Amino acid sequence: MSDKKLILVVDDDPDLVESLSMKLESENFRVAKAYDGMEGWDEIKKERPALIILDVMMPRKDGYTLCNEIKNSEEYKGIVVVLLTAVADAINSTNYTHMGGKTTLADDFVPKPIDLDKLMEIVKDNLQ
Amino acid sequence: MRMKNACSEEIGKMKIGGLKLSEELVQYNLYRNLPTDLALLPFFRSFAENRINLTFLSLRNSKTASVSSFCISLTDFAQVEELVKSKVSAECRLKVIAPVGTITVFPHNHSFTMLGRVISIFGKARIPIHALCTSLSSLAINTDYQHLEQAVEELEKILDLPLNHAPFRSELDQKVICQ
Amino acid sequence: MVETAAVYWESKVRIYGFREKIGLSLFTIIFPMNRLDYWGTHIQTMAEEEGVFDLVFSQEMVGECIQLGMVFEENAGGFHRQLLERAAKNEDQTSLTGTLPVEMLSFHGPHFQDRYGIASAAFDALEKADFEVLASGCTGTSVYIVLPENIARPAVEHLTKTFIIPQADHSL
Repeated sequence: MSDKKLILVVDDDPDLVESLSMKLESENFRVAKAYDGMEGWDEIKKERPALIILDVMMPRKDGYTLCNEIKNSEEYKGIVVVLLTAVADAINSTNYTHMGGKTTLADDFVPKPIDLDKLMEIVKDNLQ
Repeated sequence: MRMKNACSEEIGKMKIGGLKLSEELVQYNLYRNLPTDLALLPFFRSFAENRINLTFLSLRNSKTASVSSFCISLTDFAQVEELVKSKVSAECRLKVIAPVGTITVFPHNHSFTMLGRVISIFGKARIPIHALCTSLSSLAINTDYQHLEQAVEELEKILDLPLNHAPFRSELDQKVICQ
Repeated sequence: MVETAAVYWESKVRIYGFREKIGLSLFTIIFPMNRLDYWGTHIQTMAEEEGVFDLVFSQEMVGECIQLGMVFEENAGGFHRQLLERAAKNEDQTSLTGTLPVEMLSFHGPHFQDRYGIASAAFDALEKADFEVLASGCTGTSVYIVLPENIARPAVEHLTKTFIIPQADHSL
């Protein structure tokens, strides 16, 4: 069993998933990939990652919904969730109300376009 | 990190993350028998000014000729026709193919095995490839829109999709969120 | 369920950053469309010797032919070049051209597939600086540009004036 921590990347932009995966692997993490919220939930049950990098706007199940499902689950609420959002300018708390009253319980967020180095810092900080 | 063991992939189905189908598109092929030159630039400028999105581009400039293919949404066709007519020069030859559709397969893992098998399956099934291009993760292939479903059936013979795969076509509700 | 896509306009386009790769080879094969299966089979064997591609693109040519371009890092023994030369040798209406070394720059950004003006911004900047573009491919959210030797670095420096790579102010 590898002692590298597993990060799940969930985004409907395959190029961004690939870009993040390459960066995370170069930083010695293992990576699992999913391309929407439903696939993401399947991966969580299958792989139980240490941290999830989760896009907000996705088909079938959006990032807010998946994040809240994780955080409301006894089994998975310990998984760190970092939200990727293109509308982060107005956010100053991770327990915020947005998108017509939706609240998310994410541990952290990163605005898009991502500063990859900053994201790596956030990932490492949250996994300590 | 790239897969280094592409050659050892099984001869069976190759596992992929997903497959997407585009809306109806129009493909323009532009041929120009002149040395290296960005013959497309006037078109690009004009499309940008008119807020027309290019969904696909593939170009090759050599010492003797410039060949390029680009796609726009079918909904922009009438406007683009007008713009193209006013921009196309005497030394350019233009071919329009419509409607076409783009099949996007991801991730390709930079694998010649996957690329070769996909090209082969199109050849065997006699499904035309009007253009193809790779992105960081995806292999995008343009074919006749009417052939998209057949192309998916053929690809499913060699590609293993996730069980809980998203629909191939997405219904988009686009909103301007920053202007 | 309806998916919501963000469509937005920026006066200066934000991207995730540039990638450069040097010491690459660009091979272009022109062959009849009815030989797709033949070439597909040969391309599969390029996976040997740890072969991987960096960019692949194609266009239709006159006379029911296809032009297939492949950019990759050749191994020292020239295995992949020899493989392509052998495959092209006795084929009708087929030509193989190698251009090397070439360099490649790439970048991608959020929702590039839904946005206008990206290609114009990139190629305008390169044309104004008189950089020769050998090939390009844009699909998904990626833009790839193949350039002659020693051009990728100055091209990236030039494009940095056109596109923004944000340094996030993350103050939680």
